[in-house]
Amino acid sequence: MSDLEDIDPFSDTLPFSDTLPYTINDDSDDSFEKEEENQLISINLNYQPEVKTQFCCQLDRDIHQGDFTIQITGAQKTTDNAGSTFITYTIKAGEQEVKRRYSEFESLRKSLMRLYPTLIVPPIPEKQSFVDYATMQGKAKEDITMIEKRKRMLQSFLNRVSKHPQLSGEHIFHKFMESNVSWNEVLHSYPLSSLPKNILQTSPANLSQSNVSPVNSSAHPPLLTPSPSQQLKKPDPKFIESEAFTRKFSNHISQNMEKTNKRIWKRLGDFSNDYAELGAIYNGFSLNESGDLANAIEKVGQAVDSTYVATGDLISSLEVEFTEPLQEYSQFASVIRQVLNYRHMKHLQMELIAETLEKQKVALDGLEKSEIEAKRIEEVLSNEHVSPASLFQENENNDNYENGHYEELFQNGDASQPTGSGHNKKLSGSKIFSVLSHTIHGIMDVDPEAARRNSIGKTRETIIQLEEALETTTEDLKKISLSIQNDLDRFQRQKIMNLKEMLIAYAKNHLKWCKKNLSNWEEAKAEVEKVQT
Amino acid sequence: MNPDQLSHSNASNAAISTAFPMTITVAEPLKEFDGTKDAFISYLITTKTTLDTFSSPTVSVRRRFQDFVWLHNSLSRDFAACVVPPLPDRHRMEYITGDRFGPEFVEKRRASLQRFLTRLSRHPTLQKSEYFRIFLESREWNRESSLYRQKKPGDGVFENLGDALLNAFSKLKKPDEKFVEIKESVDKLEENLQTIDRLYQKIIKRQTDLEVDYRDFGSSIAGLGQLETGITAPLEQFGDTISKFADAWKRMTYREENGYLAQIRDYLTYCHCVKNVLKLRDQKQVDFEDLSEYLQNALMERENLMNTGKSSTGISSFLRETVDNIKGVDQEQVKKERLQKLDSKIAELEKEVENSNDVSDQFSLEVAKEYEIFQTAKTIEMKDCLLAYADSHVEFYRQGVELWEEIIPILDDIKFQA
Repeated sequence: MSDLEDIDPFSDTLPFSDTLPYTINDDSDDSFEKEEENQLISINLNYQPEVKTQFCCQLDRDIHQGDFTIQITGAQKTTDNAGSTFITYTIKAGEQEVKRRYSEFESLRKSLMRLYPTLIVPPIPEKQSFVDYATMQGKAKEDITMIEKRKRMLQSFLNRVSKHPQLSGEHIFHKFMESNVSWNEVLHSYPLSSLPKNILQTSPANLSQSNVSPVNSSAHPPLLTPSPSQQLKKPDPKFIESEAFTRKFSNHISQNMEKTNKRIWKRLGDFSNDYAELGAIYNGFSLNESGDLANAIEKVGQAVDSTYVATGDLISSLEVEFTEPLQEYSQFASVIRQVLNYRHMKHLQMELIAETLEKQKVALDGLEKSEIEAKRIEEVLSNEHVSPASLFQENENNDNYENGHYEELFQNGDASQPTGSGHNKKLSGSKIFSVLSHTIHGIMDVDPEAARRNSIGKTRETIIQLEEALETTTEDLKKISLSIQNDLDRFQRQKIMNLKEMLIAYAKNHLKWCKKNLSNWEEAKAEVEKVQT
Repeated sequence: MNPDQLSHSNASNAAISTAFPMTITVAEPLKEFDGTKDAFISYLITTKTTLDTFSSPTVSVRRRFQDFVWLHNSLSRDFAACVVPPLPDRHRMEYITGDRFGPEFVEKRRASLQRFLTRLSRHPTLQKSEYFRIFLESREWNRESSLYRQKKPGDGVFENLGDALLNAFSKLKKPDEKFVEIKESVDKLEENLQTIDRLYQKIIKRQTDLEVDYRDFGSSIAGLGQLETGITAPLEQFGDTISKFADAWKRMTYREENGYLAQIRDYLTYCHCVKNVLKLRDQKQVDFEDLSEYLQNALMERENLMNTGKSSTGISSFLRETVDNIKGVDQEQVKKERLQKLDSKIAELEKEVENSNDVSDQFSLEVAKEYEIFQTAKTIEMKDCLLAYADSHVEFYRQGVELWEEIIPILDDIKFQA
């Protein structure tokens, strides 16, 4: 679904987002809404659908009442003030009725995906592809068929969301179906207005347990963005398997099942047309004959005609009860791939943070060691008895030190010029570089010592931040993995049940077709047997 | 089920009555002299009959295609007014591709030959012909058939006859209403059959493709079962159901192609034969009409001679008279001689006209009878044909109902296994 690439967490490549802390939309004067927001923030991870007792609105209550279905009752061509025409779909849910257009459905879905990155948000029908346009014959016909199909699939989307244990409670979903609610307003108010562009920057909105905004506040630790091509050092085998399975499933559905199913569907259509022609021929034939024979031929023609009609019914039923759900599952596979990808990225993020933390610790270690060393040298140099040469011998073992170390050495050496200059000649070639860097640094840094101390301070701060971030992401990753696993399990259950329904529908529709035709052809055969010879 | 078995069993039920005193089966094709360049297929012809002209109520012989040709040609020659049913097309693709021993070709031919003999057996005149008897029971085939064999230039008299009469219908001065109607109705019949033939070729291809499509889909469902390990078994069974459904499509298509379509095409050739005989009848009438015209002209000539003493008028006769006068020819004598000639010519013509009239009338009567026979045969044959056709559909949908009913409870049982 190309539309949903915008959800791609990597669309924003800045390592640190600079969005503002959240703001409540000042236009909302409905105090009831503010109440909801607080409830929103603390969505419990251990959500048990059976025990929902608190509802955010009437729709919420209706949805969880049991046998609740949402219907799309109509589709109209509408023209807005700017003069552009589009289709609006009338949604009827409980007492509510509202008209929404396709782009609004799209943005609802995007919003749900960004609020709930660990959940498998049901798909909506795709924007019409070029191929679809190219294969259309007759504009008027295609308009109606496509619109009807969209109606069905958008309706299926709404109902699937309303049956999802977590998504069904999401208030913006309720708002979408509420009469007289401007969707534009919803988009620009909390919580949607305060989601960051790159969702990798935060903990997942649906899993955050803090009472503070789940978004970047000044207190929130900075999260690094990993490169998607990186490999996980310690991948989770369970999710690696899930990723592989999803790939295979996706391929099989779209390359194999959808293709072969479509071929049958098309061929049955041609077959149906052939039979329409054939029926007319037999009817004409019967007019040229007489008596029993004419009746027999006519009856055969009628059987052929009814086969034509029955086949038309078969085709449209299969479309609604098998092909469209199959298409939904093909799209579901992409959704799962995106969700798993999100987790994969979070995992990479965690490893990246851990790695960076390690590096910083090592750096800090080094800086601290050189700080100690510098102090030691100071102390030593204040005692004139020790020869610089022995200093050098000791220090030759510590080649890993920053350049700053050597700077300090020479600084002090300069102070005691007469002794220092003699030692310069003892320096080997490899230390020439450090002489140069000392000179450069001498020009650049006014006070290398202060610089090092600054470095240490900063590194210590960074380490603290990274440790916090690592803790957060590790916790997040645990929650994410758990949430995803639960939703995958729920999805698997749903998928098996849907597949069962689809296959039963396939069989039942074919059975109906066979039964209808059987009775018509048996009648025709009986009429032929009546012919006197 | 063999496409023709159904029609044959109906035939045996209708049989042993006075109208249909014999039932004939063509069976057991056998390749003889296999491996040599003289190899051919022979068929076992079994006849059950009540006619006493036959040596016994049940006889069996082996004949090859060439023998059928002899029978057909002999009958066509001697029973010109009869509609002799056609033989299967000799010059088929299979001869060129070299597959004239392939099982499908042999079966199609066998069925066609059986239809040929069955039609003959139902024809009141032809069923009693000596040629037919010899064909059906003679143990001394070569001897008996050569008594009647006539050398014709080129093989396939059928084709020659057909070709010669492929010319358009002759123009009649006084077209006979009855036969005009007959021709029109045969035309319409031909048209209908041709349209069915054309459309059905399309349908056969369509159904063949559909069969393949279903098979592909079936294996994709089974493939899904491999991925979804919780429901592998029911999905495999579903795939199996679809595969069997595709088999059912295949069977129906086979029956339609080799039964229904073959019969339709055969019937079209039969219609051509009827049209040929109609053409022949028209020709006889034309002969009569032409002769009548000559006779009229001769009578008019006589009239003129009697009235004016001149056998003809115009410049040429005037000139001849003048010349005669000059020559001193006796006008009266000339007139008497001319009258005599005319009278004998007229007498001859009158006889010929009467003869031709008889022939034409007789032929028309025969043809009218033939058409009745054809109509009766048509009813029987179309009934058989449509019955097999309807049955092939009934069989298909019955199998379908069984298959789909079987799989539904298996699918209903699917439970989610964690």
